Amino acid sequence: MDASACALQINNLTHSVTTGSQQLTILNKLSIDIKHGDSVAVVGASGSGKSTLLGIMAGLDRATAGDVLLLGENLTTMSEDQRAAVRARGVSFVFQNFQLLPGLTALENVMLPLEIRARKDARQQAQTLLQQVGLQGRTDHYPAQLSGGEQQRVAIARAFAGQPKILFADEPTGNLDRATGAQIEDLLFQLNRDAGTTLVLVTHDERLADRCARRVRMQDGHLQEAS
Amino acid sequence: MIIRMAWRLLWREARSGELTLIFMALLLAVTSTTAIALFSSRLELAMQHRSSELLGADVRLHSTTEPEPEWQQNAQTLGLNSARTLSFPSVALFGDEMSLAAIKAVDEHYPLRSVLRVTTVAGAEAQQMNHGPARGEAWVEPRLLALLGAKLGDQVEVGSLTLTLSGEIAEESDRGGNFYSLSPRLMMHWDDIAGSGLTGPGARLNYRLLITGEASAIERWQQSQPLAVNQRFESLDDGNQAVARNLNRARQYLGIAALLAVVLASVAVAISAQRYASRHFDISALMRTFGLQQNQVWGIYASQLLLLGLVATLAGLLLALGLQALLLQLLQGLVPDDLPAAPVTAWLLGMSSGLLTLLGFALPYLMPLSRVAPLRVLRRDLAPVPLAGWLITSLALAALTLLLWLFTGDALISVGTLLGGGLLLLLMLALLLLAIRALRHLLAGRALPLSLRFAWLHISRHSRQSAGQILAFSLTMMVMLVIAALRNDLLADWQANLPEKAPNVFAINIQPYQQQAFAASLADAGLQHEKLYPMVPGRLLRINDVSVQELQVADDPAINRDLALTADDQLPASNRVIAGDWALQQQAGQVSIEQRLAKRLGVGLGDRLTFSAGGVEFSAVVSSLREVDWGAMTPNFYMMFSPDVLAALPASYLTSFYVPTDKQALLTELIRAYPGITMLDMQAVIAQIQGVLQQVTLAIELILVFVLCAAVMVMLASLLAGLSERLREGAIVRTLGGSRGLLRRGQRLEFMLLGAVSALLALAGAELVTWALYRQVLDLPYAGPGWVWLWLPPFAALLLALPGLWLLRRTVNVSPLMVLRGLND
Repeated sequence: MDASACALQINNLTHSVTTGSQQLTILNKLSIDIKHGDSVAVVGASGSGKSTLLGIMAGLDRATAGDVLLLGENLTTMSEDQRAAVRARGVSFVFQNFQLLPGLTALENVMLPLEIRARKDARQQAQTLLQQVGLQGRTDHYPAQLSGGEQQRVAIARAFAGQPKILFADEPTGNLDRATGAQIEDLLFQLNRDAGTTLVLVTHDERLADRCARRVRMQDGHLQEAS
Repeated sequence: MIIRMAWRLLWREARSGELTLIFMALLLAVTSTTAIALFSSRLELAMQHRSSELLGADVRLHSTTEPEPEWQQNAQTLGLNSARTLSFPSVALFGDEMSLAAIKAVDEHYPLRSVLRVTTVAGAEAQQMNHGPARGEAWVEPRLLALLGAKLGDQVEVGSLTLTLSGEIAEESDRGGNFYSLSPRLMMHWDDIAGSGLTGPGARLNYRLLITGEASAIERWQQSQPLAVNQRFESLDDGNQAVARNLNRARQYLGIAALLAVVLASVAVAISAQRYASRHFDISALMRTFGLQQNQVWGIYASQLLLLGLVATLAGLLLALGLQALLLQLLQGLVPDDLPAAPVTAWLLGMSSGLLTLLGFALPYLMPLSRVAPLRVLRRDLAPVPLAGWLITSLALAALTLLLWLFTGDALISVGTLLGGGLLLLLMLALLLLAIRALRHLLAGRALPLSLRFAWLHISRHSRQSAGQILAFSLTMMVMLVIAALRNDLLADWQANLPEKAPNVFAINIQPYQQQAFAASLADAGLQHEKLYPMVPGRLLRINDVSVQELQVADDPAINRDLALTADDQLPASNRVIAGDWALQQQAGQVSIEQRLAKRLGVGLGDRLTFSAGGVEFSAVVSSLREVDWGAMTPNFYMMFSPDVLAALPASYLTSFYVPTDKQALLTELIRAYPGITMLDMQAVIAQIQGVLQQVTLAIELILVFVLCAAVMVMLASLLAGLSERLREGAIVRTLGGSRGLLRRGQRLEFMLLGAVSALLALAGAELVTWALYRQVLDLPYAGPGWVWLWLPPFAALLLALPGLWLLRRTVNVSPLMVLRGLND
């Protein structure tokens, strides 16, 4: 596939960890291409290595072997700070446990990635985004003062704040009740559609996976296309 | 089983670094308290054991004139041994060199109880002597030899005497330690005094009749005749020993500093223990599921704590030995050389400080560990109910009070100090908190650079913690600054503020017949001098015919010693009348009194004061109050009478004059020409005071370094307590694309802010205290801030930043992937 058409290209990725004297191979010569604007769900049993893969794809961690091309840049040889710069240019995350900074208000949490990119209109942008996720009245609240659903809305607003080219989501509804989870899903997919962002979603929720255009299954360190 | 398990767990945790901070804090507490306890108790023991040596007798009669011969005759009749000594300040000359010397003349019976060790051959071992120097000879302290550049066998001049140096004094147990004895000792024979011309009226003479013998006979001897007003007994339990008093004060300061270190270390222990406990809920739950009972889990943690305390205590005791040796080294010359070993109680006190700290500050947080529900293995939100806040606080307060009490031996002072100090600290803490909160309000929504925002976020979010840290650092630094100012600047500033050509030599003991000749000699030498004032030593007996002993002021230092009385009808230039009328001084029977003394004695205009001098009683009416510039280096007096009052009394005269530094030879000539006149070179006196001040303040600052270390530990403990939050924050910021540099900058700014703000507060506080000291107490123009304003803030910033950044290094270096995997730091 043409590299420029891909948001993410992974070739022969292997990752193993050493625990004590044993070597455990979590990812085994795994390859995948993800096109711009695609939405991909990675499913699999817990412990199958989904989250490890997500971390490596997003450049949060480095693999033992193999190449990762994120937004056209080869992460394999980069230092952590260089990878952070790539993330700053176009990568976002939504986490199962929200990962908001407890010391910042909702608005400040959303402003954070914009400020890291030194955007002058950070405050205005963040306000608009909070409005889009329906939290315009709660901008000055701290995470502890918000419900789980509201916290995940803030996290989604933060994820879209940097106008990312690719969004990684790790069980985004895993910590929410069913009804709230459904609302969050709607929000996530709607914003994703509007922005034309590439979405890579890790979940064991088959129903959520069904909403993605493409599904791959993680098994024994390999990825298989699932229908 | 429990102990073995506890030991194994302790060992593992120690290796993982989990307990390092608690250990270090305990170590610090034990080391500082033990060192001070050892130091003080050894000193105290020395005082007790050797007080008869220190006194040189069982009892002494002190008198400012030669005691009546009956005293010695009575002693003889009663079968008591007696010896006479006479000490006074004077000047010793050797060629062109001169030095102040504390002269002590001793008769053939000296020493009685004192230990006198003297080297008579250069380089030889000192030997214990049972007699004083022979006639025509002098024994001196090595210091005097150095000051004069003389050696054994040389001849020095004292007054009109020429004495051969025949011994170096290695120890003189009854040396005592007052202002003049800061000068090196020169010991000579009693019979040489008569021809020295040094003991005319007005000389500051201290006669002592040393008595040893049976207690009942001594008692009878003491009652054999009444004491004159200028006489008193000095006995073993006489608390007025100058050395004891001064050392006691130094000991108290050291003790307070050590306690500060303990308090801060305790806070660090409490914070660390809290974190330790919360990180061990899971393990406790697990142990319960393995079948351990509540009290077994409790037993494991309690023994673990005890073991940790014991190890830290043992290490602390060892370190303390070194620290107290260092203290003694710093105070060399001020404390006796051969101190007795420390009593067991001192070691126990040091040990108890470690265990009490653990009991009061760690135990309350570890108690809930035994009550963790085993179900927690399934439901992590099940945390045990912590001890009630009041219980924790009262345990901590009880431990602190007990420590204070052990240290001061006085329950009232302990509770008072704790309450007073606590309240003051709380007040300052509240002010700081308010300031932080106000600033937070002010900065909310402001566009700050991101790294600065992070720094401020951490400071303001834990505002109580930050305020506490700032307070601890700034107070410690402030005390250090004030002490350093006292040590380095005070005397120098005072000297610098003296007018050019301010008198620098005081001449006392000028006899009436020498007045004109001496003034003429000064004029011939081109030396400007102040007026010659008559001086009569005398005591205040009664105020408005009520004996001062019956008044509330009986303890005032001005009551129990001779005051220098003078008479003149002209107001000295450095005096200002603030009440009454100086013109009345022309009339008979008037006295003008210095205003601060008047206030202390409760004396006002029109009051009638009765004095005794030279065996004569006389009275005068207070006609004016004067403000006196004591620092002016001109003759100044508490009591100035109208000329008639002292006219009939034997007086000597005193004056002061200025000798340029390049004309010291003139002074030597004068001293030779007038051997009976004591000329005190104030430069030398100041140098001596400065030397002692240096030693004592250095010792206190050494302990303050421990306080500062304890404050750093408190900071590290709170950083550790917030480490998981910071790890999470760091990981999130980095997944969002923030660089490590951004995080580092934020942390650097945070510590620099904390350090710099603490330093600035410390500086401001120190300036205020020093200013008050200069302006209100010493009446000196305040010099104003110095270079320290430039270097202290960056230094303090570095002091906090280095250990802080080191501790937080993981938050920057750890893989952000941790965020994806629920955090487990």
